[in-house]
Amino acid sequence: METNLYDYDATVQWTPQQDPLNKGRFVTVQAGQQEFPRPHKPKPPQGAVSQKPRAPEKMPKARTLALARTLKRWLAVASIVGFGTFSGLVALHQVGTATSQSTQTSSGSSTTSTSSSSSQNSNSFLNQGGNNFGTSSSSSTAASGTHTS
Amino acid sequence: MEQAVLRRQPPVEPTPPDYNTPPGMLREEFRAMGTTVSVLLPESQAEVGAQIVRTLFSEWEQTLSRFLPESELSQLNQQAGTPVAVSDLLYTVLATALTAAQDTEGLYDPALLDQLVQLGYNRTFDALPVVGFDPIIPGEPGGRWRGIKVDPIRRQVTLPAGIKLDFGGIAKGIAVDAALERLQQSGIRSALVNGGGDLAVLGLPPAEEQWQISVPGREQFWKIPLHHGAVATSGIARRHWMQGQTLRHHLLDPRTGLPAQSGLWSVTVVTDRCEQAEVAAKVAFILGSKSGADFLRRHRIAGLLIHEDGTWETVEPWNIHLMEEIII
Repeated sequence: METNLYDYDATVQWTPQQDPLNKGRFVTVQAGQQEFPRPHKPKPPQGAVSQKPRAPEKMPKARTLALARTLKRWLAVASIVGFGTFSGLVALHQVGTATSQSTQTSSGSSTTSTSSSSSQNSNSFLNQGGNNFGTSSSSSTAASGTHTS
Repeated sequence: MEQAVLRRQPPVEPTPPDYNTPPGMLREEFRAMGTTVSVLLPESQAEVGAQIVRTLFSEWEQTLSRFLPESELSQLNQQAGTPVAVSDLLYTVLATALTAAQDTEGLYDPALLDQLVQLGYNRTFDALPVVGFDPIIPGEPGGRWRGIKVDPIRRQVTLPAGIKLDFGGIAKGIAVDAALERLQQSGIRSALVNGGGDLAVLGLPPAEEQWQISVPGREQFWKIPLHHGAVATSGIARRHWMQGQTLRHHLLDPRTGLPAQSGLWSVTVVTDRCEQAEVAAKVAFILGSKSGADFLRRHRIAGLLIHEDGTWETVEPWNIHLMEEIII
């Protein structure tokens, strides 16, 4: 498959940036190095508006391949780190939910929970959804009853 | 060491009212987990529904009873200090109990079996001797549940050496919730399950807008309308006995390891789930009138606190205007 190097070069090398100190003037940024405006260098008489940007230069194939390799390497590392983080969060969530206060000391999957999530979740065990009562007491007799247990 | 007489006291709670089965429903009753389980079900589904609840309670009793030597709980209690692989049921109940213990800062304590046994409650309450002799003990504070180790991956539990579990009422409360869930999964939309006073409802009775539930006072009963959720009562009216000249009961204060001296006769609460009701009523009873009411208020749990002298108070959203005294 052939890569369109021109498009690649255009987006990386020729991103126009506005210089806050020299409004209205464009500067170019080369890959790997930055080029700042030089105030002491004499400027040509024509204004910046009429200045034409240089034609985009093709990136060498070796350089393109190196960049691609770097990107792939970073992508692989990011995937592994992301997967590890996600797995860790899932495992911690399961342990915290199931064991609450209790201490875990078995090897491998052990966790020592001191004050787990449930204790910090405003006493989740006793949380109530609202009023459970009916609207009024009818004349019918009780259907069942609670008593001391 | 001082010797004491241990004898059961006759129940002093007022006689419960007769219950009326709502039109279109049938009532089934059976014995399980040391108490009478009562179930209200739609007529057309009563047979299958009752079988579901009966099977569930039987399974739970075989697994969780401390009075059955062959139960899984008894086996676990005998292997303290050793990691033991447990069933999903035992693990679930233990995890719930530990969560309740943590969220109540240890006022609910599932590891007070030794203290109960030392106080004489060493067999089912129905089998307690009329007369017995036991030493008076100073009491040993609880809190050792914090040393229980659980491995959720391997489903292993390690009890610290020297402690034993007794889930008590919370196991019945969780069983009631589980029974209603199983009924719902079977397509039943209306039911009431009452496990020895710990009850919860599913849906509404046919053609009615609420369930009429009786709640006990010191000398009378009231009727309240329940739309959804659960009701439970903790108190000393039934499970109490004399040890020498001292009144003992089964509601131990983990801070002392002795029966709570709270000045309360009973606490009835209304919550979303039965497991919550069981724990909240017990903790409020242990804390006593003022702190117990504050505890319920803090969690927005409706409560009725009966003092030993028969006076009473309520905690919102308990609505006094919905209470109707039952004339027996």
